[in-house]
Amino acid sequence: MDILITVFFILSVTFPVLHLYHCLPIFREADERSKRNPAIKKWMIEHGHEDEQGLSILIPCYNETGIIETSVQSMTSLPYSELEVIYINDGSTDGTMGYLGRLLELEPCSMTPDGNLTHEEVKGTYRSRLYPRFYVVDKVNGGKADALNAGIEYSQRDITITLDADTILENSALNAVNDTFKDEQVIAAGGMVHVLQTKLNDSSKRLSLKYANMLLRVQVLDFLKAFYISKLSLVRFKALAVISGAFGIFRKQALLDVGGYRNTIGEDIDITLRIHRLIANNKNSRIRFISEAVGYTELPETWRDLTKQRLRWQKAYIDCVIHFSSFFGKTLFSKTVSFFYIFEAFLVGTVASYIMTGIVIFNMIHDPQNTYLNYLFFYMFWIFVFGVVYDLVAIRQAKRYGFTFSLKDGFRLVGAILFDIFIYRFVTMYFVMYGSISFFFNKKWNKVSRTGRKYNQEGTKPAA
Amino acid sequence: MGKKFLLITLTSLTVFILGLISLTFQFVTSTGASMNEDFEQNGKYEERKDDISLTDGDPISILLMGVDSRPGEESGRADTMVLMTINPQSESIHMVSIPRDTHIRINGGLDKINSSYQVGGPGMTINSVETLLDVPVDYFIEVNMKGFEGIVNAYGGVEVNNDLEFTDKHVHFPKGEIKLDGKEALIYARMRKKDPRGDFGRQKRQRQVIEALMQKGESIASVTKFRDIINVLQHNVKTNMNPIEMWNIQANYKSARETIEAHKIEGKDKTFKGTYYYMPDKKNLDNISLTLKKHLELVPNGPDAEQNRSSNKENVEKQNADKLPQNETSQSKDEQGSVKKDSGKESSSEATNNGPDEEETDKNSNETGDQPNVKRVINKDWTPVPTNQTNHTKVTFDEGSLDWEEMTAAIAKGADLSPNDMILWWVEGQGMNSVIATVTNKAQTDNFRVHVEWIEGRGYAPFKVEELYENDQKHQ
Repeated sequence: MDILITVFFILSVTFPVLHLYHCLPIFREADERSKRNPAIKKWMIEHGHEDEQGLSILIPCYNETGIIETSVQSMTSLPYSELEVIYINDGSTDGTMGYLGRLLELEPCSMTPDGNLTHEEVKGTYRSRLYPRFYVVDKVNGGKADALNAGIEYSQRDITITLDADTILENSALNAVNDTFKDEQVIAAGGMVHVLQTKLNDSSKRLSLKYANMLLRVQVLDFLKAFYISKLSLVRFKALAVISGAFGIFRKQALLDVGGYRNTIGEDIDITLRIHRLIANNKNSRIRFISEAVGYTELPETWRDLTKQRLRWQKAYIDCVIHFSSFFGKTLFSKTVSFFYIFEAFLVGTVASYIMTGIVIFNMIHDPQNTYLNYLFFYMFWIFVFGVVYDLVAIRQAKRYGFTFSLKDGFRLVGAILFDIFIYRFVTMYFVMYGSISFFFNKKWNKVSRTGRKYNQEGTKPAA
Repeated sequence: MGKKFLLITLTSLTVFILGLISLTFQFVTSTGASMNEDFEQNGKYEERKDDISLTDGDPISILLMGVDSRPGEESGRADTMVLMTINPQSESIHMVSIPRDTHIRINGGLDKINSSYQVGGPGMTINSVETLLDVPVDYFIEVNMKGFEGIVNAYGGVEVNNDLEFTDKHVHFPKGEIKLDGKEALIYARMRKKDPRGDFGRQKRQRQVIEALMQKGESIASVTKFRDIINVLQHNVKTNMNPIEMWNIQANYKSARETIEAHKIEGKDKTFKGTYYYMPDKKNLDNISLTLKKHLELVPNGPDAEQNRSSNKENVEKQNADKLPQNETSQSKDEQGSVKKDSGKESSSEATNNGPDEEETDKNSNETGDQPNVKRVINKDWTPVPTNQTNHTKVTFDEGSLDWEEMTAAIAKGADLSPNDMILWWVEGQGMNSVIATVTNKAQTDNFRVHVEWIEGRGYAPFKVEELYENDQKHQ
């Protein structure tokens, strides 16, 4: 028992510490940043000298009336010429299709699929009269993966960007993607995702917590930690297992080579792992994290929606443990992605939470007098060390990549950190534990409803 | 490659440090807390604790108590009491073993010093020791048998120089340098009956083990044992030291280990109303008290300070000389030396105090000059009366119970009377597991006082029988 606890203790301490160090700039890899002088790059972009590769943005939509206008607005304002945007209406039942038709002034057009991937029947393809680079594929409902497969089929550019309907992009995001993908070896990448509700309406990179409730504020911290610490570190280890579905970039050929998306609850983990499997024998191919490619995505604002989302993530995660078990088994110690997926996310992240909870409960019943207090103190101690340090490093990292909070947000951040430490992490632990079990009983999508807010409109502020 | 190396180094270093911190933290919050027990200091010394600075190495006193109780059991007996005064400036430790039967005033009444533990726990024991020796007790460390075993094991055993060959509880202890593990050390330190010097022999052996442990200092066997040690400490040790004080003491008082001086309390055996007491010699007590006070720098080192220091030095030399061969004679000489020094101020007292050896032989012989009513003492190896009890915890004194039957059978065995021919005049508990009984035969011609002890798992056995001139419990 003691040995087991010690092993888990060491494992669960080692990974966070490892990432904390590894995300620091000293461990930055040579090709992480654009080699060009930013000023020259800016001039080249502004004066049309940028060598643009063709990009296709795929946006699957299922009942997105609430957010679709925000998305269209963001996409139409992107200053990138070699771009096509394809909305895939996945059999929405709420009139998303009609709404898109009005927003984009759609007219039917004939598009020919490549015929490489299978998907549900496509009812029609449309093109925008207002924005000729915007297309809509209207198909029978088949799930997000199915919609993405259809999008790949109809896309014509070499590089595929997958976004959620509630993801909007910063103006410079596509140029950053273009830059990164000039390296032939890069075959997939993840973009940086921030919380849409904290985006200010000016073009500054400042995040504001003013209109975010506590739940959102901790998620802001969560995202900063996930992207600026874990994902950054994992990418440097070549071990990034999740290219977020909110903002992922792939070479189209790679997507075709792996047979497209699998229709599953966690298609973003699945596709990333498929790509890892694809490049397993190719030392030079790499997956990158593009910190300059910034997107914002809407996050759930209620416990109910957050629960749905996080349970879905955990189910997706377990699904891939099972689906890729033979790949992981074969490459557990030879591929970092397998190692981290199994040891960090599965053993420490999932199994350990059951074991630790079990031990605490067992001890509370078995030997309540001293152990109860002991564990409580012990827990508080770690919470302070890790919770606070992790949050602070994440905020510092964000600053390093250009994202700052206003001074007045200082108190809100402190509040959020405390909330994170004392409440939120228990809840996420519950998500992990509950989600892992419920995966085996209920594999539903648990789609989160959008808030229905309007973002990015000059002169209006998001409602509190 | 260099960066990967740096990353791995940084990470493992951090994890290691965090591990250490959390172990320390666990110790402080849980082990430290469950070990901690405070006591009400005598009004007289109330302010003293605030004045002592452990970081400056002010002299302190620590009472070590060996308690015969199982974990969880509230009351036990303080079998062993050793008061240590530690003075890092003079690089010396004084140790006084306090015989557990020492007669003392408790709550106005008169009693044995070790019963103060049963009455009022460590706090009252400390107050009693303070009263007896008239010196403050700053800290106490109370260890039960399991804790003692665990500590010795944690240090990888102890080496002692045994001056008496004996076998107890199926373990043979040859003469000379021997290495003992926890279990053996416990038997070694507890054995009394087979030592002709009785309790004094035992006290000496206990001090040997304590000294051996102190000399080992910080050489804890291995870090991997740390958790085990913590577990042992947590449930089997009580102290009023907090972890910071523990740390300071181990850090700042090491130098005191250079010289260790042992004192024994001189006195006489006495029996009051059938109970055996040890009556400390007042003069000797005063001397020890004065020595300790000087050592604690409570009284100025008066005119005899010079002499004191020189004899101290002498002692150092002696000890150092003894360290290598450490044979029996030099050890006992050493003890004698310290006693002499105590009584040095009054030459007359030296004449009356014939030194420890004499005293011990006194006790050894079966004459009982100190106890007028005792005709002779019978010391024999009695086997226990086989027991049929499965869950014996203590003497019950329920007449007619199995426990009572077995106990009286053992008393009869000790007095060498048949149970039918015995009148039980008086039975008195001595802690949880032993009794003293006064019995006669039916004709009331032979009078005995029988000491009976419960031996775990085996039954009651007499361990000391005194034949009396007259029945002193007849009035009861």
